[in-house]
Amino acid sequence: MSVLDVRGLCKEYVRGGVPFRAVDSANLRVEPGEMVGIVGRSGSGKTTFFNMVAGLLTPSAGSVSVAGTDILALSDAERSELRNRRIGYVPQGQSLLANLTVLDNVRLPHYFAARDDNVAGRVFYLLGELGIAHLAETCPPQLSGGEMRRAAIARAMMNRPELLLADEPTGDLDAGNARAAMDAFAALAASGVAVVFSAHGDDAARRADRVVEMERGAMRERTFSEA
Amino acid sequence: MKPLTTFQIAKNNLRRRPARSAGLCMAVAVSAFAMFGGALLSQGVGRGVESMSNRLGADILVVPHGYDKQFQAALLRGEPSTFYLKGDLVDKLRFFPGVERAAPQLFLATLNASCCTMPVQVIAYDPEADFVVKPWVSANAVPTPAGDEVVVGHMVGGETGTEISLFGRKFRIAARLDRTGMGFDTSVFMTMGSAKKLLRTAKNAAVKYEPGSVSSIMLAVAPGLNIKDVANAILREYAIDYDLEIVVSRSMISDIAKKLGGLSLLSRALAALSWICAAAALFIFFFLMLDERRREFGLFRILGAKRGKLAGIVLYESLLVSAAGGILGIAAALGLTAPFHRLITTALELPYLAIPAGSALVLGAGCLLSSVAVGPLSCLYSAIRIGSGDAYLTLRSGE
Ligand SMILES: Nc1ncnc2c1ncn2[C@@H]1O[C@H](COP(=O)(O)OP(=O)(O)OP(=O)(O)O)[C@@H](O)[C@H]1O
Ligand SMILES: [Mg+2]
Repeated sequence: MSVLDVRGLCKEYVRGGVPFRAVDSANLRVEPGEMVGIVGRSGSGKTTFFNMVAGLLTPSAGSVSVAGTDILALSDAERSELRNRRIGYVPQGQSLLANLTVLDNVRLPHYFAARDDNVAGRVFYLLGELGIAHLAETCPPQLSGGEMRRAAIARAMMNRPELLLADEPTGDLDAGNARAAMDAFAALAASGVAVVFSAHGDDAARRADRVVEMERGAMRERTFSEA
Repeated sequence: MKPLTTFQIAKNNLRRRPARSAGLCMAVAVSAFAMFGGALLSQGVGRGVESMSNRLGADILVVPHGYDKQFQAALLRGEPSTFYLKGDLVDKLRFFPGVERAAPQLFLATLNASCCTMPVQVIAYDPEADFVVKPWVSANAVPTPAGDEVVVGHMVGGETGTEISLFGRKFRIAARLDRTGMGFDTSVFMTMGSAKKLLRTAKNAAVKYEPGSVSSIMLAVAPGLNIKDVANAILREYAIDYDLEIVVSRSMISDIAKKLGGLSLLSRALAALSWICAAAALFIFFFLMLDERRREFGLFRILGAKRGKLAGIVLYESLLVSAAGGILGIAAALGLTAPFHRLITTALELPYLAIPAGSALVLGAGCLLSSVAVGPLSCLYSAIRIGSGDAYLTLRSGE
């Protein structure tokens, strides 16, 4: 069973009185352990797509199923729970909470899951994996962009998601940090998690098993000969 | 590792905006202070007035002309003062038609008693005729003080049986009055005889005394008679010869009760007003904060927080603010009314009897509760608003 199955997904906005589709009839299936890269220019609809997949934005048309569950059929509370347990989301840009330490940022998803098992081991394992264990007690304003991004990735992995969405995770990182982030995703995919990330250019996309191109809201699978 | 809790998150959020949090906290503190301080004060005065009207046996108070204010000050607040009436008036009034009993007092001011940091009023009285001091001693027998003995007011230091020094002479404390809430609390009572002896030997130049005179005479009117009529008759008869002035205690008490009514109305209005101000401040601040915190709440939603959780965090923040403010305000009210109630009631010319600790506790708990409630109540609307709308849009508009 696919971890992610998106069919005919559309998002229509009205701008200046003219309706247009930020996402236009997008289809995408991702299997466990697969790493899929979405490549597209700025404004092509990547973030809009991710937000609909994560159940944060209501589509104009189409369906999204995550691990066999049609997320549009869920109530808001159920959708929140699914997002919390099954989806890890690394948002575009800086997404840490400035007034919480790295440690607390990373365990926020666990707090929202309202489980009281001890997660100290998992938190430090993740921080170690991403090479930021020494920053556990630091607050985000004192971190570099790469460190913040790694903390956001650790946070997305916190609740052992089946699907990891990363919106331009390497966008503002230097080559070294970008590689470290992609290494983390590759390791995650190797452990069976379905990883979908977006990027502007082809550099990062090279690490993907499959690349999907996005242009003015439409998605097109890139064939091997093109790559 | 301590688990992450709503408390911690709320606390961190408040800490990130220290000036605003402190401001909101202060608004609640002011409201709690007004509520609790006002209630303590007006209830204390209420008790003072009640006990005074219950136990002040005199219907008519006779004082030298022009001294009614000073007498009230001495009676209500124990402000030491001296003033005199010719002594033969006592017997004349004792046998005046309609007067049942007459009890003279002689006020001797002293500032250098060994007992007290505050000025003490020495009042000489006639234990035989007395019906003014007696009601304040709950132990049924007031021992008639012997020549070297005194009865002391509640707040005068020294155990019963020990000695206290007045005008350079030592007296034994024979008994102690109950708390009166009036000037009696800081007064020392002795017999006319010992007062006169004291005055003869006193080296205190401040005491000017005309032999045989008294300061005031308290009268009890025979039951069934109109007090005002008796008072007027006395005035007609003796006002000119003795240059006296009359205070009808019932109208004095009703004046005081009127002031009390004003005081408690004022304190209630202030408490209500400051509560509303605190609620409005919290409402506005939390409402404005919504916009500013869209991004933060959007991120929480991305991580899987349910709408209720966001509302919970906001409610918790407001609860922390109002609880801290409430505790602060109540502590301040307690800390200020205790030492300053004297100052305040003196300024207002009101008797004051502190309410019992138990009642104060209940009152404090009630005030705390309504202060704590102001936070969550006023940000309820904002809390509900937070979770509404698409989470993504929520995040985007804050970017
Ligand atoms: N709330 C909105 N209302 C109207 N138009 C919107 C809204 N959100 C996004 N758009 C438009 O939809 C299009 C797609 O936006 P989106 O953010 O998905 O692009 P993107 O591919 O993520 O771009 P970038 O690489 O710069 O992040 C853009 O043209 C954007 O202006
Ligand atoms: Mg984007």
